[in-house]
Amino acid sequence: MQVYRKLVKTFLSSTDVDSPRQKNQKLFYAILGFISVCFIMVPCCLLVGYLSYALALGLNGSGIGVTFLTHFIALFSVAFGISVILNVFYFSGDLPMVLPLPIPPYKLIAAKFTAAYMAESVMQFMILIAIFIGYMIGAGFGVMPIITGIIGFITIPVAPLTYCGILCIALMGLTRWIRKKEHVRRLGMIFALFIVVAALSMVGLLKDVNFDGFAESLESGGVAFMNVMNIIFVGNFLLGKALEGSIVALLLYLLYHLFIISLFLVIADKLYIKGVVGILSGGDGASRKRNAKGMQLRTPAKSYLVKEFRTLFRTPAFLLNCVIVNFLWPLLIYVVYVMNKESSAFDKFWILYQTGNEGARWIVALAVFGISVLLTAMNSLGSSAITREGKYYYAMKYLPISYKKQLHMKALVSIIISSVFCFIYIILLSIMLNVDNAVSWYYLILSFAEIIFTTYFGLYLDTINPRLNWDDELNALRGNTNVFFNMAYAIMIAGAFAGIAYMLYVFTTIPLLAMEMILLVVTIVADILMVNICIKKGSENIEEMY
Amino acid sequence: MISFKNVSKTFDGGVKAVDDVSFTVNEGEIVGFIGPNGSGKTTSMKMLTGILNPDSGTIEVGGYNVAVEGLKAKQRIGYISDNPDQFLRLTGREYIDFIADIYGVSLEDRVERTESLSERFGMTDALDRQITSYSHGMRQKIMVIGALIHEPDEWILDEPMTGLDPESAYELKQMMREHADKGHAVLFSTHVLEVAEKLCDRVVIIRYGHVLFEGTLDELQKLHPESSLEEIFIEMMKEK
Repeated sequence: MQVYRKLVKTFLSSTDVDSPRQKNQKLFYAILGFISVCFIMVPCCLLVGYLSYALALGLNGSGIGVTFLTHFIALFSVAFGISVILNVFYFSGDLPMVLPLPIPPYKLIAAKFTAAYMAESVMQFMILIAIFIGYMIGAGFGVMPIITGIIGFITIPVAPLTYCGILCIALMGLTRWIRKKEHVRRLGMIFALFIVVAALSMVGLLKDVNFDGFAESLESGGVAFMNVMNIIFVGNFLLGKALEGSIVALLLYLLYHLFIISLFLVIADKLYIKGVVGILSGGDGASRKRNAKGMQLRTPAKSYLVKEFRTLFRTPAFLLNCVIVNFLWPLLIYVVYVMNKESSAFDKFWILYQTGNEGARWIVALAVFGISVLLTAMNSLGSSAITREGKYYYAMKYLPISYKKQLHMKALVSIIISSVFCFIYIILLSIMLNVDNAVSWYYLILSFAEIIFTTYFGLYLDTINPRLNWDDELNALRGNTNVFFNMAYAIMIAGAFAGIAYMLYVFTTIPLLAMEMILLVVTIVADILMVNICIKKGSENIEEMY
Repeated sequence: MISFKNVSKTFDGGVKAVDDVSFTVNEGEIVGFIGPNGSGKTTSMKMLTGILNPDSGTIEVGGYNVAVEGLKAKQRIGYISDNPDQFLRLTGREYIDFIADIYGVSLEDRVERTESLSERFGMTDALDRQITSYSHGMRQKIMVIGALIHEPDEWILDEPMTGLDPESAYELKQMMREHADKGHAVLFSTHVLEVAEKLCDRVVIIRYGHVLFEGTLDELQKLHPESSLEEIFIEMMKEK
C-alpha cells in the first residue's frame, strides 16, 4: 500500500501547475483564477445544480434526474478518457524509469489510474457536488441521499475511466497491429471521434424529450437514450435508485464498482506489460516516407507558419483538442435543436427575425459574437501556442526571427482555424435564418474581429506562464491553466457584452444599426489594443523566459 | 570571433551560474569549453545564442553585441544545443528546409548542402522520415546538419559528440577543423578530455561559474609537468 501511495504521489507531481515567477504576474494570475472560478466553475455548477433540483422537484424525489445527468458526464468522460488513459499508461515519460522497478503491473496501473482519476476529475467533482446538493434541495435531505451522495461523488468518475482502461489494455495487450506509437495515438483520436459521433446518434434517441415536458418524459420510461445508457452505465442507474432510499441498490452499486475495478486490475496484471513493452519496442509509425518532393523556398514567416501547422496537424493530441474539438459546436446545437423540435420556440424566433424584429436581430448578432469568443477560447490554439513548444521552446530564442513575427504566426494559426469553423456556422445560420447578404457580411466581420481579440489574449496569457515542462502532448493542454483562464475570460466577456447590449436595447432608443456598428467598432479598437499588448509584452515575456 | 567580457548570470533563488566570465574565441580557432556538470558551460552558451540574457557584461559574436543586435548576431551562429529532441513532427528534410528559410539560404545552396551534409553523416535515407522516429544519434546528426545549412561563421556546439557514432563524431571533428582552418571560430563544450586534447587550439576550463584556466593545453601541461591532463583537470576541480 505504501508503494502504491508513493507512486500516486509521484505521478501526481507531474501534473502540478507552475505559477509565474514575477510578483505582478502572480497577482494577475490570481485575479484570473478568481475570475475563472466565478465565470466557469460557479455558473456551470449553478446551472447543473438547478437542473438537478428542478428534476428532483418535478419527479417527486425520483433519482432519474441524477441518473440522466450522470449519464451525460459518463459519456463525455469516455470520449476524452481514452486519450488520457492511452497517454498515461503507454506514453508517459516516466515509463523507462518505473518499468524496471520490481512493482507488480496491477499496482503500477492502479497508481497510474488513481493519479489520472484525481487529476482529470476536478471539474467533475464540482459538478457532482452541485448535482447531489441540487437533488437534495429538491427531494429533501435524508440519511440515504447524503450517504449515497458522498459515495457517488467519489465513485461516479471511476466507471467511465475504468471502461477506458479495460479497453485500452485489452487492445494494446491482445493486438499486434497497433504496435506503432503513431497508430495508437491515432486510434485514440479515432475512438474519441467515434464516441462523439455515437453521442450524436444517441442524442437522436432524445427525440422523446423536450424542454416543455422534460421531467415527465424521463419519468414515463420511454426515453430510448436512458434505456441504452442504463445498461452501459448501470452504476448510474443504481445510484439513482439508491438516492430514493434503496439500500439494495446502494450495495449493488458498490459491488458493481468492486467488480469492474477488480476485472480491470486482473486484466492489467496479465496484459499491461505485454502491451507497454510492445509499444516501447515497436518504433514509430511516422517512419514511412512523407515528403520526398524536395525543398521549397519560403519567407521566414511563411515557413514558420507551415511549421506550426505541420506540428499541429501531425500531433494527434493537438489535432484532437485544438482542431477537431471545434466540431463539438454542431453537436451542442444539434442537441438543443433535437430537444426543442417539438417546441414552437424556434418557429416563433424565425418568424420574429423574418419580420425584421430588432430584438431578434440583436440576439443573433450577440450569439455570433459569443460563439466566436467561446470557440476560439475553447480550442486553445492561442492560449497553448507557446506551451506546445514544450521543453525545447528555446529554439524560439536562438533562431534569427523576431519574437514579433513568431507571435503573429502563432496567432495566425488560431485565427485561420477558428475563422474557418466560425464562418461555417455563420453561413449555416445565415441560410437557416434567411439573412440578407449585408447582415451576413456583418456577422462574418464581427466574428473575425472577435477571434483576433480572443486569440491574442490567449497568446498573451501563454507568454506569461506557459506550461513547458510536459512529457506527453496531451499533458501540455490538460495542465495548462491559460486555456482555462482564456475560457473564463471568454464567458465573462460574452456575458458582459450580452448584458450591456440588452440594457442598451431595452433602456435606450439607439437604432439597431448604430448599436451593431458600436459593437463592431469597440471590438476592433479592443483588437488593436490587444495585438499591441500581446506583441510588446509577450515579446518581453519570451525574452525573460528560461 | 566570439567574445565574452565580464559576463555574470544569477538565476532565481540566488544561484550564480556564471560569475564575471571573460574569454575569447578568435578567428581560425577551435576552443574547448571544459567543466563538470553544473559548472556554467550550458548557461554561457545559452547567453551566447540569445536564449538567456546576462545580468551584466558584454557578449559579442562577429562584432555584434548579442544584447543590442541580437538578430544579426544569431544570423552568424550555427548552434547545436545539448538536447536534439526538437521539431520532432517535421521530417528531417522539412526541418532543414525550415531552418534554411529562417536563415535565408537559397534553394540551390540548401539542396546542395543538404545532399553533401546528409551524405557525410549517413542520413540520406532518413531525410524523409519524421524526426520523432529517429534514434538519439540520428536526431543529433539532423541538428548538426540544420545548424550548418547556412554555413555559419561562428559555430557554438554544446556537447555535440553526445550520441554520435564513431564515424559521425570523426566526421564532425574533421568539419570543425576545416571550418576553423577557413578562418572561422568554433566553440564547443565537452566532458571528454581526449577530444579536447586532439581537437582544440585552446581550452577554457570553468567551475562554479568561474574561469579557472584559459590557454593551450601545452600551457596547462607546463604548469603541472608531473601530472597527466586528466590528473590536472581532476585536481583543478577539487581546488577550493
